[in-house]
Amino acid sequence: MNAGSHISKGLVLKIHPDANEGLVRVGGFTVPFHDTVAPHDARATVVLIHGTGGNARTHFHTLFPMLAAKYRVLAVDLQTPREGLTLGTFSRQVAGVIEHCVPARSVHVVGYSLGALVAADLAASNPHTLASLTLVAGWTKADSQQRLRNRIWMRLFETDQDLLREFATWTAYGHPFLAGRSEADVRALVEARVFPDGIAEQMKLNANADLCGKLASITAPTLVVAGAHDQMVPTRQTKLLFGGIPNARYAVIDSGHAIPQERPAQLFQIINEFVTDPESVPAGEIRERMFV
Amino acid sequence: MASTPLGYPAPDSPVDVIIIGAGFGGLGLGTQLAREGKSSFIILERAEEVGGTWRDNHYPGAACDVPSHLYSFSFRPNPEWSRMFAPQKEILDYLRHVPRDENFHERIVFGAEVTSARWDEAAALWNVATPKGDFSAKNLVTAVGHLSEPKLPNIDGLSDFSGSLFHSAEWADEVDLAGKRVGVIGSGATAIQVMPEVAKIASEVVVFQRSAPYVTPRPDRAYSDQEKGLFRKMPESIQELREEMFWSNEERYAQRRGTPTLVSAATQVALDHLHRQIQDPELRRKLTPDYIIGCKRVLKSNDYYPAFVQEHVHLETDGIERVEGNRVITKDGGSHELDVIVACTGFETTDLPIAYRIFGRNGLPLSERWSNGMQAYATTAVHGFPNLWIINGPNTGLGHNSAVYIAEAQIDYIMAAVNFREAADLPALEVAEEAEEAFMDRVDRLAEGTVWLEGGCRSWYVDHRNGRLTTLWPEPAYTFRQVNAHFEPEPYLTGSEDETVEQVLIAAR
Ligand SMILES: Cc1cc2nc3c(=O)[nH]c(=O)nc-3n(C[C@H](O)[C@H](O)[C@H](O)COP(=O)(O)OP(=O)(O)OC[C@H]3O[C@@H](n4cnc5c(N)ncnc54)[C@H](O)[C@@H]3O)c2cc1C
Repeated sequence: MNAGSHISKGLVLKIHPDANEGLVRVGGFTVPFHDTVAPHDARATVVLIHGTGGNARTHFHTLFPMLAAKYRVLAVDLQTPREGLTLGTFSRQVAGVIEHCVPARSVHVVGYSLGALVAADLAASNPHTLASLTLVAGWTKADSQQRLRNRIWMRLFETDQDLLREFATWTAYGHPFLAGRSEADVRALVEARVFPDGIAEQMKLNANADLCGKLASITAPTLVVAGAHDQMVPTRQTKLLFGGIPNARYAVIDSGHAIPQERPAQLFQIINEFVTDPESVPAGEIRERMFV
Repeated sequence: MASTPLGYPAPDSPVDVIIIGAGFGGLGLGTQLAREGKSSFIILERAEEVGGTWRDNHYPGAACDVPSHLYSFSFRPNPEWSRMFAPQKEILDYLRHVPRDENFHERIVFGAEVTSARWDEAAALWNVATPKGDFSAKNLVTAVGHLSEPKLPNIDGLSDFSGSLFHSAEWADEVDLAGKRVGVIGSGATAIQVMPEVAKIASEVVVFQRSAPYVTPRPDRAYSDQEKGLFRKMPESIQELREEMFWSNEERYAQRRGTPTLVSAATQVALDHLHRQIQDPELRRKLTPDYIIGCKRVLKSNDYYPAFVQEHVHLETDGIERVEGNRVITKDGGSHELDVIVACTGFETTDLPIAYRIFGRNGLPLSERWSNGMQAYATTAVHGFPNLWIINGPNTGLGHNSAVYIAEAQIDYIMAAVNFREAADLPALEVAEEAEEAFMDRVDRLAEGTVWLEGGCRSWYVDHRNGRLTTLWPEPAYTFRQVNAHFEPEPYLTGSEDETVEQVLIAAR
């Protein structure tokens, strides 16, 4: 992944001044991580799992420092094999990094987009590792609407990556977010879009992953976060996650799919509140609109 | 209760609440008291009109720099804002409507500058003196603002300047600037609004800059008729917009925690703006800040830099040595002949004049309690000053979001405190010293590592008497509400008899 090359060049700034960058061997993979660990830091640990086509830096550049003011933060850069990618491939990488960095301690896991599916998979198979689980813009099993987008994406990936940049920008952000920006700002968002190695494999996993059989076995207190204007993971899907996980509560942010880019400060507050007291919103309930 | 014909109580009959100041803070609290049907309050305002900041700062170009739908009361949304950043006159009109619409205009005493407020322990009352008479109240709330005392620079000979000299917050409307040579001292939030306007009519403008500000694009625009119609018909659309503005401002908070990646991205936005608008390398150099972004207020303007490209506008970066007659002499011996000097030099923020006029238990002046820098529990209450509540005092400034949001959180706190005291039938609420110290330790810890303390600039956020961040809240605005909006009685009850405390706490729950 591109994060690895950034680290070796040493030119790119760290995700956070306190973050130690390291590598762990898990299975056949060398998995990079960013960890704000400091001696005698007894603060709770929040683990961040990025989504499709991203890494810790691109998805959490704002959320990471916000969390780091209060928590030890550990973010993973997932490694994608050439073929045979499953949720288990990723969740084992995350489990390996957690075991290496925070052995025998329970952690708060936050997954975004595909990372949310990885987090849910991790929670189902390692129930004792998780103090809490936050699923941001995750889904249960791609439905026909989502698979249609996935097919368009694949076609454009093979035929016209310039157009794909525009399409992916259009689907990633909420309509109020894009409408509120100048043409030049939107063009900059389009141009900034990159398709790192492994992204097509990840897109296949997006289409095929299926959490349905696992949700009922997730025991950690769970927060499901939805983007009200998400076109990639419509709220129908986040609601199904809320429906399927026994100890879950639900929060909505006025955002598209790119919640960590569109509303990082609000996402931070929601996560912080939940991690501080997972029962502050009782299981089965919807968090009320945040007063501003 | 006896009432004078003016509608406010006779000086000898105490009210529940006296509010000092009729700006956003005082009017917001007045609204909540009036809405709860509490009629026993008055507002003492030294001027002849409401509005505070927005009454005084009527200089050309004056406008807010937090979007108006956010920079207004959450409980008084306004579908009529003409622009994203409304001009001063519109904000003043908005504030003028508040006491009339909320039916408490007759409770404001104008021309009533509070000269002293003394706590009477025996009577458990605050006695307040003004030129309009003496008043007393169970609770005293100061809402006198933290940017309300204009500060002139300390420059040799300035007061003897032979032309016209005035502060931006005391704009001299009678001085016609057309065709004049005008000096603008300062390059902060006010100067960048004033200068382009002055440059339109003056024959020559000299900006005296001590340190270059970061200036970013100002995404201002007018709201269309459709949008205003939508705001009127679907008020929830205002709320959605407000939230979008709020959270996008909150995002900038992460930059202030000194995260290099975010700091460099923010810096880039400002420097790109400078480079797009200024081509001349020398001018660029002078306008490039030499400290970390966010250490001082990040400014928004689209017309400040372009104004310098005009022939008759000059940027002076050599410090001012002295003023002689109608000339400003710089440190390197240069000299500018001027007709008018406008001081855009900010306000007294760390050593508030009102603190010299408030006397708590045993006659202690608040200024003495604060001689080492101001501090308050939950930003609102001070040990030794029972039943005194402060709006927009210590640690309430924000580098990145709306001051009205902060005041609203404090108003919620004060309403709860006032109601609690009354329900619990206690003569006074005085916060315990330990609680206040513990709160301040927490604020100090939060301020560590922020750009304000470590950004290498001299700003009004830090009190130079103790090097502490006393004016600013070092966390996100949302956290301010979480920490400071909810009144808990415990820290106020530690001094009393155990049994009473128990009973009061049981009753409170
Ligand atoms: C030019 C300018 C632009 C600003 N723009 C923004 C912005 O865009 N966004 C933002 O969040 N903040 C902004 N601010 C900060 C602004 O001060 C606050 O947002 C807010 O207006 C403060 O309200 P307040 O009621 O606390 O104080 P003020 O508005 O200052 O009101 C205090 C009132 O108390 C009265 N008073 C003072 N002393 C006494 C006394 N002893 N006796 C009786 N009455 C007294 C004063 O006359 C005044 O009317 C700006 C400030 C300035 C100066």
